[in-house]
Amino acid sequence: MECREVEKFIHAYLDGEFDEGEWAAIRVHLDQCQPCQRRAQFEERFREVLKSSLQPAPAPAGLRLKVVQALQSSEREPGARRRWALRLVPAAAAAAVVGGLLVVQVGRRDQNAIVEQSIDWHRRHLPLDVTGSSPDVIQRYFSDKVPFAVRPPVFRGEKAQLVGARLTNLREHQAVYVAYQVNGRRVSVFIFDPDGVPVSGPQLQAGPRRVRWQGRQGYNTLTYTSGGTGYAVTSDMDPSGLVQLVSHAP
Amino acid sequence: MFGTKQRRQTFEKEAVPHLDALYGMALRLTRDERQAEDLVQDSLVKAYRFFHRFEEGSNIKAWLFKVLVNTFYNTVRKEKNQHRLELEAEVDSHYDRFLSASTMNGQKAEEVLLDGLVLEKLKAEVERLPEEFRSAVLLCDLYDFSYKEIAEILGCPVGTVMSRLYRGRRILQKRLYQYALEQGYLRPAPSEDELGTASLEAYRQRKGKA
Repeated sequence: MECREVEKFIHAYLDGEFDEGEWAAIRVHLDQCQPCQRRAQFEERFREVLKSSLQPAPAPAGLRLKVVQALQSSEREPGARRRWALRLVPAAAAAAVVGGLLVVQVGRRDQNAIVEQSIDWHRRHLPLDVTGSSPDVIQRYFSDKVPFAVRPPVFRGEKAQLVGARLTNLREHQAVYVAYQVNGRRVSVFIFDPDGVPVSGPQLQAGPRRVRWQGRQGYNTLTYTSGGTGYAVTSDMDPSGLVQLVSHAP
Repeated sequence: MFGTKQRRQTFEKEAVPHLDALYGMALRLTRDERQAEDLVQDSLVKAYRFFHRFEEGSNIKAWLFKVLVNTFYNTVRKEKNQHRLELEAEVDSHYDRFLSASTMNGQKAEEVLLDGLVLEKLKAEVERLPEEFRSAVLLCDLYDFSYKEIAEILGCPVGTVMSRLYRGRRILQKRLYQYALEQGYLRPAPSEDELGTASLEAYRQRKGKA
């Protein structure tokens, strides 16, 4: 090891990131090179004083209870709250308010993005990346392609069949489009990471789950989350037929 | 399949022991106690929603930190890029000279830099560090995460973690050095030229007197 390399990797050495061989190599150099040895000693002492100056701040007594309550209420009402972002300290207030307004505006505009895109994809007959009627095959196919679990809903009924799926995007996020045939009608399901994807529309009860409904251009879309994954189901069925379909899907 | 209640209890059991650490990090990111509390809450609700993605047996603390840091960055990231340019000029050659001079000439300057009086400044300087360096330094020096875990938490390569740590610590040292100069604990390190001239003069003076 040379002096230049010691300088470069001194922190990795002191932070215990070196393996045995690397450790031995730098030790040999330090034993023979006074300046590098002093340099290492200085960094080591600096690291010690830095560590001792950084004291952990214990959480306030009430936080634990607040967290537990927040977890409970999150089950009733999914969707991340970002209250803290709107409550910045005065020093950063100007920038924060601008940021906050932007978030709200973008949020409003994006609220329909998932529905619009679902309908758009539903109308176009685009080629599928994977075809077949087995949800497992589709789940496996996407397991290394998107950062969320793809579990195509299974719709009940003799005439409900999975056709296939393809990879797509919801703005900058990856999403999976799954095509079905149900009673001779096409049904499209968008599977996406619901984090940061707002949805709007009146809430309906579909079996065990709450869904949001939006209709336009003769199509209806129901959006809901299940097991941390977002679903948007689109068809030209009437809303009650679609609700019935979704309410029986596990 | 887990029942909802059971799932929540499992999550609570895993996550709550890290509440102090998460709050400490949140406080340093937001610099505001109420915001820190809200950030911890929101991050944990988010982590809970994505708990199925957490691989059992891997480091839950690192995973929770990742969610916390992401939640924070996703909201305020836009503000922070402006620091970058200021920073390039920050680590200038003065400190380098000081460091090499003191390395060559014994440890007096280092003693000054690591003196209690100067070190009082250190805590405040960590708070002043630009975001990306502060996170790396805190995750390493306060929370003892490995480089690999820090890379995972910050969503960057290990090489980036190394350079952020290197530069972050370096900035701290440099600011302590500046502080020591301002307070008169240290004299500026002479430049190469001055060093040459000064020693030659001294040599001649010694010669003359002799």
